[in-house]
Amino acid sequence: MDMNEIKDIFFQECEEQLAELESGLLRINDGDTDPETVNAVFRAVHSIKGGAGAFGLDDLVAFAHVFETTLDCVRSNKIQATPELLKVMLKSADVLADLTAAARDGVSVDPSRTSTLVKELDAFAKGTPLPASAPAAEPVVAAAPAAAAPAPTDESGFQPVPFSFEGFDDEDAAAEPPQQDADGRSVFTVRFKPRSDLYAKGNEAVLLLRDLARVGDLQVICETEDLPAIDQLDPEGAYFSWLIRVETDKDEEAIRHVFEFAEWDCLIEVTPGADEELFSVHSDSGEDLPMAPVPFDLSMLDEEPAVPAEEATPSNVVELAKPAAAVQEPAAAAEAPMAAPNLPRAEKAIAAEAEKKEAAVAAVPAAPQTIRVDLDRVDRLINLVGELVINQAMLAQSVVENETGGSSAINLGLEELQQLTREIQDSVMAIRAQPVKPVFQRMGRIVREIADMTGKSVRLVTEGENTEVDKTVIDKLAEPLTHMIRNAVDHGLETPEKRAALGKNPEGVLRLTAKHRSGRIVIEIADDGAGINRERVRAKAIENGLIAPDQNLSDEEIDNLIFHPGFSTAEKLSDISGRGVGMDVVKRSIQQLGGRISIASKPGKGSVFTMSLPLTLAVLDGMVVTVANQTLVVPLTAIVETLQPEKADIHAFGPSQRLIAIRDTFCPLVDVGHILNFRPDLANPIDGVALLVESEGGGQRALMVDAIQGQRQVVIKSLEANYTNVPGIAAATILGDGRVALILDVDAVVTASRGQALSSEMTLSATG
Amino acid sequence: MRPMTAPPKVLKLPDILDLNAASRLHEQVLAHKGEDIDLDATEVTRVGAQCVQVLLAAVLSWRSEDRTLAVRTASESYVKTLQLLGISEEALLPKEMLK
Repeated sequence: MDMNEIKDIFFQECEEQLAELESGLLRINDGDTDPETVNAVFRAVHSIKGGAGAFGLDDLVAFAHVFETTLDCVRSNKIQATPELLKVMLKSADVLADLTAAARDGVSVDPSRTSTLVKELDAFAKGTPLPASAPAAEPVVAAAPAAAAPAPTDESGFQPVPFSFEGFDDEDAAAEPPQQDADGRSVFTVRFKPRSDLYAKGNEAVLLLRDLARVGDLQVICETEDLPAIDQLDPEGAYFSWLIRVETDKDEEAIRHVFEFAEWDCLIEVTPGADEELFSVHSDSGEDLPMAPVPFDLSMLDEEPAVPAEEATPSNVVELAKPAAAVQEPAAAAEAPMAAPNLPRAEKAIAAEAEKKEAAVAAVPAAPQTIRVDLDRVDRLINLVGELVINQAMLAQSVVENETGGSSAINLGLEELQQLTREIQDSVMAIRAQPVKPVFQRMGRIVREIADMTGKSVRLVTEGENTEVDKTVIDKLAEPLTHMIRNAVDHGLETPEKRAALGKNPEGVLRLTAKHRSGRIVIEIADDGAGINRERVRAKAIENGLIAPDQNLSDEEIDNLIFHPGFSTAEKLSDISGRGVGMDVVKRSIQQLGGRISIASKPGKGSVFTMSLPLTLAVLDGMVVTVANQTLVVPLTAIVETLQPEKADIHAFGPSQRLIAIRDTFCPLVDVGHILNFRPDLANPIDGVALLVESEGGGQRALMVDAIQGQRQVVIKSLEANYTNVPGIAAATILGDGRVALILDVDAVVTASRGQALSSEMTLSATG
Repeated sequence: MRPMTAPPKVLKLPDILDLNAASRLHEQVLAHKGEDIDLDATEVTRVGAQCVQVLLAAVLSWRSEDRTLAVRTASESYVKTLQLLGISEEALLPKEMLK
């Protein structure tokens, strides 16, 4: 593996870390007070810094360092995570992402962006946030960072818990260097409170204290107040905490180093000085108590101690069974730390490192093991599986055609092959399926930037981010989503003042939702803004000559005008939208993905844009039908039901329209062969089959075809890539007999049936 | 009713009282609730904080019920570890082991 490959992996990892960072910050912003979230955020920045250092990416290291320092202050409760600080941190996360991208692409980032943030971050870390970044902020700082007065973390959050060491001289301790005695030895107080996670991950307080004893002389006070009664005790809980006076010739760093691998799972505070009275009280409290400073003989602890000679076991001795661990093979991770003291220091560090990694894996619930695979390889595999499916269909066909006497062995084998192929295909598709989360996360940044530019206050709420969809769909989703989000903030949401005047929350809410619905992924972008100003849309459309001034349009039709090419209602062109790049582009990109978009708007309440996209662009379950001797495939997802029309059900309507009575409703009958120009005249409905389809616009149509051949999964081959766009046709596929069959674009056909000509222009401006 | 003359039951603690032993120890100790117990820690070579939590909780619970549960004899390793942990509970520290 050469350096570039390693670097590539680093940048891939950076992307993951950045996503982790952003989602963590957002969680904190939403009120998540779990210290582990802060830790995760800190770790993300820390890892980026570490990797960047290894590659000599100095800009990145420098910025990550400042960021990390501020995060560390939050982690240790020196400063509070106020909304102002989080705003700066989210911006910093964006800049960190930019710096990473710049380092990857070998370009540079505008230094003024980083320098401003560096100053702001610095100011927060020092407890003196810049006025510009925190106007009228509540006191941000819980304690001046230099102040040694500890602000211990409550396990459930980072609200500083009032805590004072009695007789602790706050002022002096805060300002002065550690107390030093004549020998140049310093005294520190270590407060160590493990969480049950610490034990669960195989760490042991005893070992940590023993390591601490190597740093200096200890006086240990065990705080046992949290210990419940024996029958309420969770034997695997963490109830003890420790207050330790350490006298050492080393510095604070050496003490912290002891807890390095456990710091995520415990509260650890190191403060210079010690409340001598407290410690002396404890050591004087009983002559025979072990609290008197005991010079620990480490060598003894490390060795297998000599067991006192055992006397004859009295008859009433009950042998406690060996612990479960001794019977079952103990988990390696749990055993490691206990075995560690016998290892040399370096080996122990390695063991601890490995253990830390294991612990990290354990910390993420059900984090599956993953490998990185080049996307090209997956694509090649998908292509091959596609070919396999076609080949299998061809084989099946030739068996039928050659009439091999209906040998059951061959048929059975074929059936199995078909099933296997299907399974392989599903599995391969699953490889490409990815959660939409990364795209949704990117939207967070876009919202922040636009909110900043427009001076609006916006909260982005995302739901269903773990909804999975094919990677190609995800990749192509970002652009239309970005446009729509921009539009929603720029046009949809009102300014805070206006919202306040309307009695709304000044902060607008943008809701981004993803869900699976009948074999498709549906993405909704909902804002609680003003809704579409239909008057203005109409006026604008008339002005642009899109509609006639006297044209009568329904609300839905007016709303859909915004998808018309070149339509923009923004009164002044801004940086964000306007410029003629608008919803028509969005609509086009979504249609290219085989998707549909619709809009629902309520004046004063907001708008909802709904996109419905196929889960994959590679295969499709379709109904194979014949139309004017041509074989077509109709996507199964569009078909509601199929029916055989009776003469009595068909009603003529105008010169060329026909309706079919389905139960108690009438539905327009669309002759697919006629619409696609396969035949000049309308076919007799009695001779064919009607497919009742539902289009995205909500209306139902009965599509008339000549016959149904069957239902099968087909591999989609792009027409655009191999031939050219054909109106009314979404794509093509290869059938078992090797012939090419066209896949019907149901929406386009339905739209065309409304009386509009079927043309490519129509396809683009179709209102769905 | 406890016969005043009956000697306390002696429970021998296993040699390893690490993280994995805590649950087992908890169960074993609870099983003898209501009895006076002397613990024999002479074979203990390794003891972790969670087992000490169990032992201390047991001592306190027994005491609240006017019973005694105490470690009478112990290995040096056991005593040193408890000292390292800053445990000041007499009942867990056999006097003859302390200087």
